[in-house]
Amino acid sequence: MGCQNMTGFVDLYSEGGTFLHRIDARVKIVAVLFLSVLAFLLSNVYSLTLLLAFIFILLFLARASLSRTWFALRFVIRFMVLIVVLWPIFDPSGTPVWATFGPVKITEPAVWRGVTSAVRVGCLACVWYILMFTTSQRDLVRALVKMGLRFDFGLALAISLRFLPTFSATIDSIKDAERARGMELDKGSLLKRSRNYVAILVPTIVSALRSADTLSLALHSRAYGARADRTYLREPKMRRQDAAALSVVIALLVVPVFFKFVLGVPL
Amino acid sequence: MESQAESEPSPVASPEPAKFVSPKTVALYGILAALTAAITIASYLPFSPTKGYFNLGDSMVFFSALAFGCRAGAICGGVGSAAADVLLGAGVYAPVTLVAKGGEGFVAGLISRSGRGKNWAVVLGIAAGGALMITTYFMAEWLFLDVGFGKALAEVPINVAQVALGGTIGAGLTHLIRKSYPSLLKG
Repeated sequence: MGCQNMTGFVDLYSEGGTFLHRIDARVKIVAVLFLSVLAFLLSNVYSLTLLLAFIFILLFLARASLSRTWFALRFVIRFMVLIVVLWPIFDPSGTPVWATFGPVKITEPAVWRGVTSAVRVGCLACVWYILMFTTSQRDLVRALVKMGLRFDFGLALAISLRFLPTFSATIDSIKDAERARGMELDKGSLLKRSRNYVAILVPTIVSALRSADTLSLALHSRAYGARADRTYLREPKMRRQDAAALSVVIALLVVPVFFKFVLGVPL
Repeated sequence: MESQAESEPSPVASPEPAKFVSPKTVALYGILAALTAAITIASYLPFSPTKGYFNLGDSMVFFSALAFGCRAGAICGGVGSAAADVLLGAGVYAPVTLVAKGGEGFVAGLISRSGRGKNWAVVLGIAAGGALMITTYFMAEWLFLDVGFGKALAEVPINVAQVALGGTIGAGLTHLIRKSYPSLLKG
């Protein structure tokens, strides 16, 4: 599935009929929050690995293709490797000592702490994509507004998500135009490349601000803000399966917390 | 909102005053957040082979803050940068970015506005906002994400370069666009 087009812009959501696509977006937002909290509360490398596996199962059930799952991991894998490598170097505590390089001691507990932290970061990075792969922008914004976001800010968020691909395309065509005039964006030092980039930023910003003007006229002409309470054509309703999913999500957080903090199981 | 309505003595006949920001502001904030995200994503690519995390998103955060004030800087910087993080596959950073870049935009806008946009105020605002951003990322990575002191420290030089370049470009952009297209910046 070509989820990445030439602008580098990635459309994360894809249509689908899995149960993760169908359940209420609010439940999915709560699930992402709770699983993130759970990742912070767990401190045992095995239970964290189990959580990571669970997140991958959910991604698999959401019919995320391999390329999409790789996208969710692409950035964070290097990050995880760096954590594992750098952690023991800065943390000389504990025994047994595995190796000594001058002032640097590599100890076994430090290595395990690094691995634990890396797995936790992996969980926190991937859990987002359960929501992003299965929820359309419209549902996401509507759910956030239903959860208490002011609807004018919700509208601003919806506008920004709507215009993101448009501006990516604008930037692309401006880049092409500048390249046709002989500008090199991929060569030279960081400083030179950044300075060349200004030639792209200025026309992009000017055209974007012009579209903001047009957009505000469009909002005006549709009587935005004419009445204080916003009405909706479709009200999202919690159905029975949403309530069931929500209770599962709550159990996912409460049960490990109970075992860890009440029964003292080292999770 | 509900608690306010309860505390008001006569809510009966008086029509509730519209509590939204104006359509112009909604459109502007949406567009600026989209622009921040788009530029972060687009500028991430040409720099990616050499510098990993480096991007020019900060220039847009500073531009929003300097041209349209601290609220625009906070909302557009925070939301736009966080959205870019999710879309680049770095979702683990998104909550931290929301706070760090939002704070950066807020402080830069606040200081430059209270100094009436004079040069020293702009420089001070960018420096203070940038320092806040770098500190937030460092503290969040070290204490909150718990990635280890070494990894958190390794990020600091990249962030410093990002603020230095982003701040220069952002201030320059504000100056250029204010000079050439003054009508566009009347927020």
